[in-house]
Amino acid sequence: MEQRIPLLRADGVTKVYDGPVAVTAVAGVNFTVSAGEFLCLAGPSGSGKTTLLTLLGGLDRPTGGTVLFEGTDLSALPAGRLSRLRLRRMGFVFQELNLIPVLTAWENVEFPLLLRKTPKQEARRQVAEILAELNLTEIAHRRPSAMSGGQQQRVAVARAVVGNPSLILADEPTANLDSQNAADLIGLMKRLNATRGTTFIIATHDPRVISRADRTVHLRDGRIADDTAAAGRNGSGSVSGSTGS
Amino acid sequence: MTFGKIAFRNVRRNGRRTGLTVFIIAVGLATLVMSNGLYDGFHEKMVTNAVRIFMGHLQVHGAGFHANPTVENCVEPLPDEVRHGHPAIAASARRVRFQALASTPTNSLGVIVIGIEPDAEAAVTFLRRSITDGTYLPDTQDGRRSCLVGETLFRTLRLSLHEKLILISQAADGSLAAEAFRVSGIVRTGNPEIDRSFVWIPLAAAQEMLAYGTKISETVFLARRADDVPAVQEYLVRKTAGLGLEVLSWKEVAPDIVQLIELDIAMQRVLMLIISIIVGMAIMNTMLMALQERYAEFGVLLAMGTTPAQIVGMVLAESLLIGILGVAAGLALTAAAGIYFYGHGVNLASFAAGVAKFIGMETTVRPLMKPGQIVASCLAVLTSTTLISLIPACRAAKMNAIQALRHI
Repeated sequence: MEQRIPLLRADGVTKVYDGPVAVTAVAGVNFTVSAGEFLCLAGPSGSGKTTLLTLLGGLDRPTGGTVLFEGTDLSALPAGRLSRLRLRRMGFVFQELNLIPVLTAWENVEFPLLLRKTPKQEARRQVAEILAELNLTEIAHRRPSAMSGGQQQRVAVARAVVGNPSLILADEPTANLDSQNAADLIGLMKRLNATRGTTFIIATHDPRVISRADRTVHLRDGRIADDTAAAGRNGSGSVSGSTGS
Repeated sequence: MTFGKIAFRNVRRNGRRTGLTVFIIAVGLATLVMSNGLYDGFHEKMVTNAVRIFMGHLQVHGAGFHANPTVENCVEPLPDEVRHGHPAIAASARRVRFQALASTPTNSLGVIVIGIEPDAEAAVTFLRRSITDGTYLPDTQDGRRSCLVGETLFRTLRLSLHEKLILISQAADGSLAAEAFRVSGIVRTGNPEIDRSFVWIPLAAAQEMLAYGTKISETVFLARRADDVPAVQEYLVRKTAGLGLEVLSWKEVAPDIVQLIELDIAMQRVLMLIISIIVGMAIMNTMLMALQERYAEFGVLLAMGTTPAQIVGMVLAESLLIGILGVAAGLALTAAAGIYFYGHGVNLASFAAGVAKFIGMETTVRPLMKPGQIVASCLAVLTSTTLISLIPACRAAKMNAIQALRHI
């Protein structure tokens, strides 16, 4: 049986926030994510899913354990190299205020390519291609203030996938969307996952998203409560998760 | 699309706040340039008046005469080829200078008598145009017994025009000299000391009175431009080497004026610093407010992989752009103010009555706009805006992406 390549591996990942009372947001989480997965981190508010997402994306450093992305220990990387790695290999979609307000949809999507110093012609080609693929060409020259919430999130997804990063991390991407827009966005991400092979990790408690995931990791109190591969959808059992404590 | 473009659009994002900041920078710059211009104009007026009322740019006299102007310290006049031998010399005049007792039938007073060549003196100083009543000394034999009297002295001695004034002094040979002169004109220079104690008589009469023969006390020189003074001084020192003469520039003759100017320049620098700080604080406030508003936006940028250096560059570009807009508006404001003040001038006497003592006859000052000074002021404002913006820029760059995103 073909073994999937592990894209991401969390070994005993812990995050404790110091303060008058230390708060453990993530406690000794172990799990691996293979390339091409469409995975949801689910759980109620305060379960640690957003914190875990930021640790997996190298936006924050764990207080214990390691996160290996494509074999590189993110917690050991200096800030500059971590920024470059995020820029080239990852994409992010947040809940709101995703886009730079002074830039048009085109410019927002083009922005990470410019940061990567992609040649201008190539950047234009890639932006045009992704906007067309996501049916955003019509609003290419609109600024975020002139777009609906759904359109803004689709542009954010376009910006995240442009340049073909291997991993997209999304934090509650459908939280502010109505049912139709949420369904469209989930469909869009699923399509990109299928056509481009891009790995998606989505922190959400939206059942509409969870129901479409290949695998759902349920968190409770910073620990993995359940790690389920959806039956009939990518449920190869090649992925695993557990709480190390 | 570049960071410059983002900075430009962010500047336009909150037009009212940008406008207010640009206005503060513009007013600060205009104040800086205008105050510098007025200071420089005041200094130039003060020096010009001091030079043209009496002092000249340079004086050549016997060694020690400036410190102790005795009747005995007289010298042979410089040859014409020396007096006219440098292209930067605009004019020169020979003088005899001595102290005397001025006496009328009812009054007596100690005075300073200046023996002059009327036409040559008029080329160096404003004496001819300072006549308020009567006539200037004629440059002929007929005018040999005429004199000019300072306005205050004229009143103190209760003189009238054409009245006889007796001057009594010790001559160079030790004898007592007394000569009668008729008052041909009244002089008002604006310098209280000169107006209170000076009497001008023809050079030949002074030489005769003091038994000088052809000797004189000093030769005064007017340079074509103030900047030419060092070159002319160097030339005169070279030409008079070994003759026992001292060649003094106006700065050596009147060090108090130099000190006053230096004090003013120090004040100018303090003012420049204060205005730069005010402008810097204004722009820092703007950038900190912008930062506060865009906290989450910076978080997204950092999360995407924008480096801290790029964030710093973006914030600095934004503040530099506001600074440039402020400087452009400031220069426009300066031009408008400059045109007004150059046309109308500023009468310093209306602010301080004693100002005439320093700047003499003319108390209306016009700003002197030096391109170098304007460029320096613009650079000072731009530098302060950019440097002070490093604070919000570094704060933005050091942001934790997660904390910034949670700020939503």
